[in-house]
Amino acid sequence: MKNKLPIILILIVIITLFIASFAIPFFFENNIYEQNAALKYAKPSELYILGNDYLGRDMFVRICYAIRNSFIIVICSIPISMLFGIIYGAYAGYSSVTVEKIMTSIMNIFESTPEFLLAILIMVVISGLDIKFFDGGIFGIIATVIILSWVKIARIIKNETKKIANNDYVLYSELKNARFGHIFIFHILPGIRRIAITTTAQKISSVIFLEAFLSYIGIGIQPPNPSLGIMIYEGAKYIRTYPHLLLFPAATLFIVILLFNILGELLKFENKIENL
Amino acid sequence: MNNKLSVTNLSVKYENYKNYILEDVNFDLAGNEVVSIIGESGCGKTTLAKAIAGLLPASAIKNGEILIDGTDVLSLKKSDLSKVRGKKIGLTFQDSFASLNPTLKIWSQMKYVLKEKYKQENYKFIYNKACSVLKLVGLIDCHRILQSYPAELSGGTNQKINFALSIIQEPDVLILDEPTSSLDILSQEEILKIIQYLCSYKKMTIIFITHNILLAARISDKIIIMRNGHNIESCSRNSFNTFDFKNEYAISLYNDALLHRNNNSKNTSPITKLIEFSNVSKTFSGKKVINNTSFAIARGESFGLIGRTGSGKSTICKLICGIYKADCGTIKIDNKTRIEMVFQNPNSSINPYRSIQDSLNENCIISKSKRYSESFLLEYIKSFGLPEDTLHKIPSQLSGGQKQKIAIIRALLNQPDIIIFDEPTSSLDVTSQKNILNIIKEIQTKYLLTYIFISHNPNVIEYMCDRHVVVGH
Repeated sequence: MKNKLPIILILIVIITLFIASFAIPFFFENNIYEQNAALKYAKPSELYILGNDYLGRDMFVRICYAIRNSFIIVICSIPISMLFGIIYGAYAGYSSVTVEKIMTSIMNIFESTPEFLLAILIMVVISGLDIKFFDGGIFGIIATVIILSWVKIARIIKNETKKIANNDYVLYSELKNARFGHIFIFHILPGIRRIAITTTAQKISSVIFLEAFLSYIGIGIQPPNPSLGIMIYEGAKYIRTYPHLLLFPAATLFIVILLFNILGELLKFENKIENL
Repeated sequence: MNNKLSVTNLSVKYENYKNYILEDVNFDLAGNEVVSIIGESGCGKTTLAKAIAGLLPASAIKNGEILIDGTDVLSLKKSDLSKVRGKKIGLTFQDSFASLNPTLKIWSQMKYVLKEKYKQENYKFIYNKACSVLKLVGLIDCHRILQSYPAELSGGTNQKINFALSIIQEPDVLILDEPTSSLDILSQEEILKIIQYLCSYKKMTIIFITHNILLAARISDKIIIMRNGHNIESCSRNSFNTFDFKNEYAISLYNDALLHRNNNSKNTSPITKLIEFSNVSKTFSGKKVINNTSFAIARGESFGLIGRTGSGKSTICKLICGIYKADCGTIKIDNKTRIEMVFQNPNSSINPYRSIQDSLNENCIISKSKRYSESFLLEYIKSFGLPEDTLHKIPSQLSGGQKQKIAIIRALLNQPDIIIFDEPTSSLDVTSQKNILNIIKEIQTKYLLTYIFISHNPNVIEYMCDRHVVVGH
C-alpha cells in the first residue's frame, strides 16, 4: 500500500466522528428535544457552541444526533445491499448466457428508473405500511437504500466476475466438478475484494446524501427527530436573519460526504496502482 | 547522425524495485535492417521495447538516452510522444488478447487506424484497405474476421491482427514483441516473409524481440543478446551469412536450440485403449471446428495433437474432459479414468490471489477431504527443483517456468491416468522449455502416465510424443 497514511488519517477522522456522534447525544440526551423560548435563534455561545434553533434547541447536540441517524442508516443498509449485490453480480457473471440475460434485465429495470423518483415511491409505500422498528422513518430509509443500492455493485461485480471466469484456473475447478459456492469463495471473492471495498466506500456518501434529500423534502426522518436534511430545510427559512441555522448543518453534511468521497477516491487510486 | 535509432547507456528501474531492469544498454541501428533482441524471460526485453516506444510508466526511473532520428524519446513530453508513436514507432505487444479491445469488432478497431492513415471517410475504400492488410498478414478469410469480436478468433489470428494494425501506419521503426510466440510453424513462416518484405520494400527498421534464436538467426541482419538487463553481445551477419557469437552464454543458447530441434522420435504401438474417438464432429456458430476425427490413445503412450492455430486442438481437449459435448460421433472414455490438465498460459492457470499451497490444495477443498500436509507438498516442490519457500508465495512472485511446474505438480497430486498438456511450453524461453519438457518426460516413466500433448510446434511434438495426428485440414 502506497497511500497508507492518508487512508489511515481519513479513517481516524471518520471513526472519531462516529464515536462522537453516538457519545455526545448519549450524555446530553435532554438537549436533543428540549425547547427553550429564551434562547430562540441564539448565536453560538460558550454553553451552546453552535447556537440554538428556532425553538431554542441545542444545535450542536442535534447535529451530532443527526449524524448518528445517518450512520445507523449506513450500518443497517450497506452491508445487506452490498452482500446481496456481490452474490447477485457474481452469480450473474458466472452463469450461462440465458440466466445472465434475465438477471441483467432485472438490473436494467432498476437502473433505468430515476433513483430519487423510485426512492420517493418506496418511501410512500413503506410509510403506508406503518412498521416501527426505529423511530421516525429511519426504517423506511434503510429499506429504500437496500432496494436502490445493490444494483450498482452487482453490475460492477458481474463484469469483474466475467473477467475472472475466463481464466484457466476457473476452468480447472470446473473440470473437478466444483460448484458455484466453491468457485465464488475460492476464486471470485479474492479477485473482487478490492473493487467491492472501493465501491462500498463510494456508496456510503451517496446513501448519506439520499437520507438528507428524503428528509429535506419531508418524507424521510420525521421531526422532531433531527436529520441534517430537516435542519437544512428549517434553516433555509431564516437564511437572511439567522444564517447559522442553515450554515452549520449544511457544512456538516458537506464535510461528512467529502470525507467518504475522499476515502473512496483514495481506495480507487490504490487499486489503479496495484493493477499497473 | 547516420543512425536511425541509437540507445546510449540506457538504465531503467521501476518504482519500489531494488534492482535495475535494464542497465547500461547500448546499441545503434543503421536503419532499414532487421535486428533481433534475444534473451530469457524476465531479462528486460519487453521493458526495452516499451522504453523505445516511450510507454514506460511515468514513475519509472530512467537514465541515458534513446535517439530516433535525433530526437530523444525519453525527454519528450506526453503530447509530443503521441505524434512520434504510430508514424515513427510501431509496436506489437506479446499478449494479443490484452491489446485488442474485447468489446469492439475487429472492423471497428481497424477502421479508426485506417481513417487516420488515409484521411478518407469512404466506407468502401477503407473496407478494401482493411481486407488487403489482413490478406497481407495471411488472413484470407477477411470478411468473417472483420465482423468478429477478438474472443471469437483464435490466439494466433488475434496476434496476426495486432501485427496488421501496427503495419498500417508504416512506421519507420517497428518493434515486434514476440509476434510469433503463439503461432504455428506455417503462420510463423508467413510473418517472417512479411517482415522481410516490410524491411526491403517499405524501408522499415524492424526490432524483432523473441526467445527463439533459430528464428532470429534466419531473418536478422544483427542479433543482440540480453541477460539480466545487460546486452551482453551484439553480433552482425558475417561474410558466410551466419553469426559468430563470442559470448559463452550466447553460444550455449544457440546450441541448446539446435540440439532441441534435432532430437529424434521413437515408436511404440497401442495396447489397451484408454480413449477412443470415432467420427467426432463439433460445430461452433456455423463453423465446423472438428470434422469426422477418429483416433485412439493407449495407456502409457504420449500422443501428440498437432495443427495450425485455430484448427481445433483445444476443442478436442475440452471434448475429452467433458466440458463440451460432441455434435455427432462417439467418445469412449472409462468413467474411472482421471483426467488432469496443464494449460498453455501459466499466468491464467493458477489463481493470482491465492498462495501456491492453497492452489495445490484446491482439489481437497472441492472434494471436502483432508488437505495435503506441508511436508508432503514440500517433497514435490523440492523434487521439481523449486525453492522451499514457494508454498507460501503467490503466483506473481514466480517466473513463468516455475508457475508451469506448479501446474504440473497440481496435476500429479491427483494421481491421474491421463494428463493433457495444452502447449505447456509455448510461452516460455528456450532454456525453461527444455527444462520443463525433460521434467514432463521424467515423470511419465516414474508415475506411468498417459500424455496427450497439444502443440503447434513439430519439434516439441517430435521430441515428446510416440505418435501424433494432425488436426485440421
